[in-house]
Amino acid sequence: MSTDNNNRSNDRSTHRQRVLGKPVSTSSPVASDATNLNGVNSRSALTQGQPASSSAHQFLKIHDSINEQSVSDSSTSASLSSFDQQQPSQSALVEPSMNLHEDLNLICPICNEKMVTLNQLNRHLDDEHQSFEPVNNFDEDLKSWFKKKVIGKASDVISIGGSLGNVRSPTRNLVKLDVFDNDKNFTYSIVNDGSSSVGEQQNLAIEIPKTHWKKQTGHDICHMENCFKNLNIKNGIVNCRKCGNLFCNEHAFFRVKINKDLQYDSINGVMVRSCQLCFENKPHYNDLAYTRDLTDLFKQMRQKINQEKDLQINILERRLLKFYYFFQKEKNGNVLSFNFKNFEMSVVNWENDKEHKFCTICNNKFNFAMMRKHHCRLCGEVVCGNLENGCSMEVPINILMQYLSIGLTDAKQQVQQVQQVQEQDQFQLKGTNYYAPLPEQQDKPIRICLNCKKSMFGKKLFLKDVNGEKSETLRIYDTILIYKIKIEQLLPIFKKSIIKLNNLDNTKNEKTHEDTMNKLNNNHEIIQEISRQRVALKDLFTKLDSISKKLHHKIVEDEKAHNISNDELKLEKSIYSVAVLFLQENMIAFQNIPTMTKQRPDIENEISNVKTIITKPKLTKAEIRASREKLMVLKEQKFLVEEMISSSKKKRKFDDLKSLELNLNDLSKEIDELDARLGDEYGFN
Amino acid sequence: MDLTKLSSNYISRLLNTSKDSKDSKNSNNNAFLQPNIKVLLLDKYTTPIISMISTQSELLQHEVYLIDRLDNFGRDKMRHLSCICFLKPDEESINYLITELQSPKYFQYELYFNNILSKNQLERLAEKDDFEVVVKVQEIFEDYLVVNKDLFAINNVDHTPIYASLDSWNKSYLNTAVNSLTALLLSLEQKPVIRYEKNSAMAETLANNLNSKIKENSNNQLFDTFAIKDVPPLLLILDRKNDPITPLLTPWTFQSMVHELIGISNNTVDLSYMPNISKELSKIVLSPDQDSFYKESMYLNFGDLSDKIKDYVEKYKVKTKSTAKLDSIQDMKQFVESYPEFRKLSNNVSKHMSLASELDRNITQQRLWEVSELEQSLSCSNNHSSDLEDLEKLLNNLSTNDALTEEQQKLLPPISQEAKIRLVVLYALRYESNPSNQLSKLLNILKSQGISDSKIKLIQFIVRFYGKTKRLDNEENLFNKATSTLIAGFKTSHENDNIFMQHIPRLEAIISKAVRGKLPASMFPILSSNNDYALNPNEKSQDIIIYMVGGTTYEESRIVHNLNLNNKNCRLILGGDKILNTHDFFNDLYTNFEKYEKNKSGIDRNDLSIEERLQSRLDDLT
Repeated sequence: MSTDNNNRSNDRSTHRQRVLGKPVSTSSPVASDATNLNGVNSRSALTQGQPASSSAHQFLKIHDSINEQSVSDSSTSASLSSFDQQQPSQSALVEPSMNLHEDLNLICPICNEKMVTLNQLNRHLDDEHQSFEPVNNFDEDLKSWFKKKVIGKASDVISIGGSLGNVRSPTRNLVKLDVFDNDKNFTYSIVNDGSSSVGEQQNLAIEIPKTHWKKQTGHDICHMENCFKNLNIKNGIVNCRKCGNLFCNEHAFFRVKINKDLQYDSINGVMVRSCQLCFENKPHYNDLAYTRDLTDLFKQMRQKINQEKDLQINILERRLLKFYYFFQKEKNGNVLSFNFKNFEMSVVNWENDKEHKFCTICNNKFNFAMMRKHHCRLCGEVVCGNLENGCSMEVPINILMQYLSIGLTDAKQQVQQVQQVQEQDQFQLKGTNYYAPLPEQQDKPIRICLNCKKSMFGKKLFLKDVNGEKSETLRIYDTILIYKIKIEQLLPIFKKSIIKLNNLDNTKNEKTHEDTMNKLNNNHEIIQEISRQRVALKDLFTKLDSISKKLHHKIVEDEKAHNISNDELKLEKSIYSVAVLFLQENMIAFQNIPTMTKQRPDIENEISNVKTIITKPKLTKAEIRASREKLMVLKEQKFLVEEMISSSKKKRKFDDLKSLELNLNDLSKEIDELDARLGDEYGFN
Repeated sequence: MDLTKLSSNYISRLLNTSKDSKDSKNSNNNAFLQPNIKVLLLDKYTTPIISMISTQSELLQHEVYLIDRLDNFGRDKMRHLSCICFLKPDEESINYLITELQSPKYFQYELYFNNILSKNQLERLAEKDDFEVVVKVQEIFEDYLVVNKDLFAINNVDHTPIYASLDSWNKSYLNTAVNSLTALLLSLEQKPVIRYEKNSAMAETLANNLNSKIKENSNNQLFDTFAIKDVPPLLLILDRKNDPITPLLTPWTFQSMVHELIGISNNTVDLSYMPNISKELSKIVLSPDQDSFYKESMYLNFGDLSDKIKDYVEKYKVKTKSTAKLDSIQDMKQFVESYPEFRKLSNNVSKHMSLASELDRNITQQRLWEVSELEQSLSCSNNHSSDLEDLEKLLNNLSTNDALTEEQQKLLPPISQEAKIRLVVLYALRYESNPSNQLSKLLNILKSQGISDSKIKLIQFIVRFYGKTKRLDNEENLFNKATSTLIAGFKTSHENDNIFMQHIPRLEAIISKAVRGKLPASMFPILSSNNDYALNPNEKSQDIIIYMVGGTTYEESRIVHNLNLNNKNCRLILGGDKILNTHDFFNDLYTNFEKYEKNKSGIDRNDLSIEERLQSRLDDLT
């Protein structure tokens, strides 16, 4: 896609000249010459199939020059790359050459239509032959002809690319349409094949439509947000190929791949010039922070493994129950205790202890002193009985049974379970309480190893802890959390109603008396509501404050007494600091609220009055408060009505005036009444 | 491609995602009664990562009330708390985690790994999760340090040396770097085309290893899920040895200067060596996310910085004045309301004040104005005779300013040895091919100044192995001056003509070429792990990740930052093995030099007879 820098700047400079109105000496004459030749020779090349090699070369040149013209035009965007919008500036540009060749016959090389001007030919090529199928054939013809005739002789002058239209010109200063576009408006346009990747070569046939392009009005402004540049030759006028809007050069300096439906298409699309917005909004452009979740895979794996483990645990539990029943029977005298050894061996196959020289758990060598050989009665492994290592231990059966019943909160379920086992084992034990601890003298111990203990009871103990009672710190935290959540719920509501109050005051365009009354009533309600919310909030804050103080005391005590662990203390401190921070932040917000209403001193007054009423119980006699509030509202109403009267007087709306005056009278009457009721002490005068 | 955004995204995943699992589990319970106090467990690798992208208060806000190390076995059983683990999936951490899972201290665990977790590792964890406490396993790929939003560094916790010898990697470090870069690419969702500098064996090894690592993992929802981009993202692996100049120069922007003169490690600056420093300021954090002043000033040069600090202090003074008189209740109230903000401001003011004054002290003491002026002249103008003259003066601790009298000259503090060596190295590299090169004379001066022989040998070593013949391209890019050359389609990073900041690192020229699709394939070969993209050396890159083997500098990061601002059509991220200052760079050079000397004597040894070799072995042993 890259184009030679020099080429680009050359084009720009030639273009600048053109724009200035000077006749272009370099490209136009060449173009016209070529056109001339083209009109005669290339046509004969087609028809007769025996052209001179130079004419074919010239033929290429003409299209190059046509291209070049469009390059310069569209890259600075002074006017248009699409020729169908005929721009005055453009026709002016072509004028000189047009005059020169007015008398020449221009014939379209494809359909032999007669043309008057070069410009017309350009437009014709653009309109008629843009996607003209026979073109390909023509191209093929041309190519095969090249292959036959030219390549051998003049391969250093002209080379042919492998694919459609992929012809490299020896004079490389003739560039393709646009520095950004892979836009094949001209089927013969020269492509720098060194830069086009395989994908692009396949997509050469894709054409991006221009129908969505915004037309220039002459005083456009860059479509980019916050860019108010006027679009002109200096700043550039560029249509984003994707969205069609007009942009200045700076904001149209981007490239995206789109397909002919103007959709983003990184795989099959063509690279075109775009605006910053289209560039930055392309899909996956802002993809970030990739993660891979392995939870499901992990759970699958775990399930497989843990199912087996559960099976194992089940077997161990059953064996333990067998021991339990055996002891029960023995207690009832059904079994003789000298059979116990045989019974033990029957529960599980004992490992041959001669084969084991080392403990299977701690890997220490057995001896006759501390490291005696023992068999775990549940799994049959040979383990040591060293108490320090704790590889195996004799544990009374009732303790084991207690452990086993952990988590089996549903007694019925447990009984059922036990019964099932019991039936299978053909033990007859009627009327015994299975999970009650046995009387102490009958607590026979059995030896179990560490592994069996862990796998049988580990999870039960863990669950017991999880479902067990929380520490005091956590209980405090729970309470703090509740208050916090409540405050967080209430505070926004409180703020909202304050804002609502302010808004109500700020809308002063009531026309009728009713509106005014409604507003005042609303105001009144809101004020009452606010005062209620305020009380509730204040209550919550005090509670939160006191509990965090309690926590603080606890921390100080705990630190002195060293009676809790380090982590617990850290936890307490963190909780405390968060609670204090929360209080600080939200209390400040809470205190800020009255100041928000400062613009309206009367309301500030009301609120503070409400506040004083709340905070000073002496004054909170409901009657007084109610009438005072009513009085305030009425006074405000009166004030407003008076204002309205004066304004309608100014505007000479005497119809309104009448009703307003009536209103005013009513209001003053009521105010007087209230004043009289409240007397001097609680009144406002 | 904003690394700060990326990490805050990851942090929020780390802290919030417990919601869904909690909801499903405790949907029946009252949400009020199920507080979710969390414990965050880290390992030695993830601790610095977290500390750079988050703060204690942010964690507290998300109910993370305890933060601890996984390998701390003294932790208490607290089975009402849930636990978040953020770990690196290496053997050590996995083993610790298995021990933890076998006797869980908390009621549930969410496991997050900062790099690719192998299937084998996952299986081992699943095997040991008897209590089914693990509710989540996720990879969040943050196995590198985020320094700025466009600067990263390898998280080299153990300070493993980078070089095994000159031009070859230390194997264990290489592994770390490859893993880190893999994580970076995954987190940015980029499957890049890799290019490296042809003359660098290290860059090539890294490129190849990384490439095969990407290929290896291009399945299992890793690199295979990434969308194909318009233009393939580019990972450009450069070698420090092709630009030894940039890390030799004294930088003049805030962040670079702090690193150069005081030292930044993991975004913290240790000021505890300063006398009379208050406890709060003995260790300060410089993070652009939390410190708006720093964010605005980190790329300012020292002059602008001083002005900015002045304004800042003025602002502060106005505030203190207004709060100084608390006559009316209104004043009091305002003071209380703005108190937290106020306190923050005052902390910040004193922090930056003490930093700036410390910088200033260092500059005067080390006579950096003079040194830097000569450095700049050496690095970007061609003026042999006057440079030589100035250099000799500075080596003799004289001033380059002729106006000073001899008395005044004597009062000047001496120039540090390191700075002198630096200047001579710069001279040697700059005028390497100049026919009137006077290096030996300068080395003699250095010797007379009491600089050790090994250091003088080091200078010769640098010239030999970092000299012209060893570098990839011509000197134009290396000794680049800030000029306002217009490059079509690319806006350069510099606009000021500060005489202390004339030199432009070579990096800019390379980026400019990459953006315009002009990196020659002969100098920057291409590797692609990626069949999605054709290998096209002339592609105009839109996303470029640059990795500097041997470490990058804050100065280069500033360039990248400015280029990102000026060129919206490309996004750049810079990273390196570490972030160098001149001191670090010299240390690296010195260790390489020592290794080389050792090797050389080793090679020599092979030429000796057997008896002699045995003798030297014995000598080595004793």
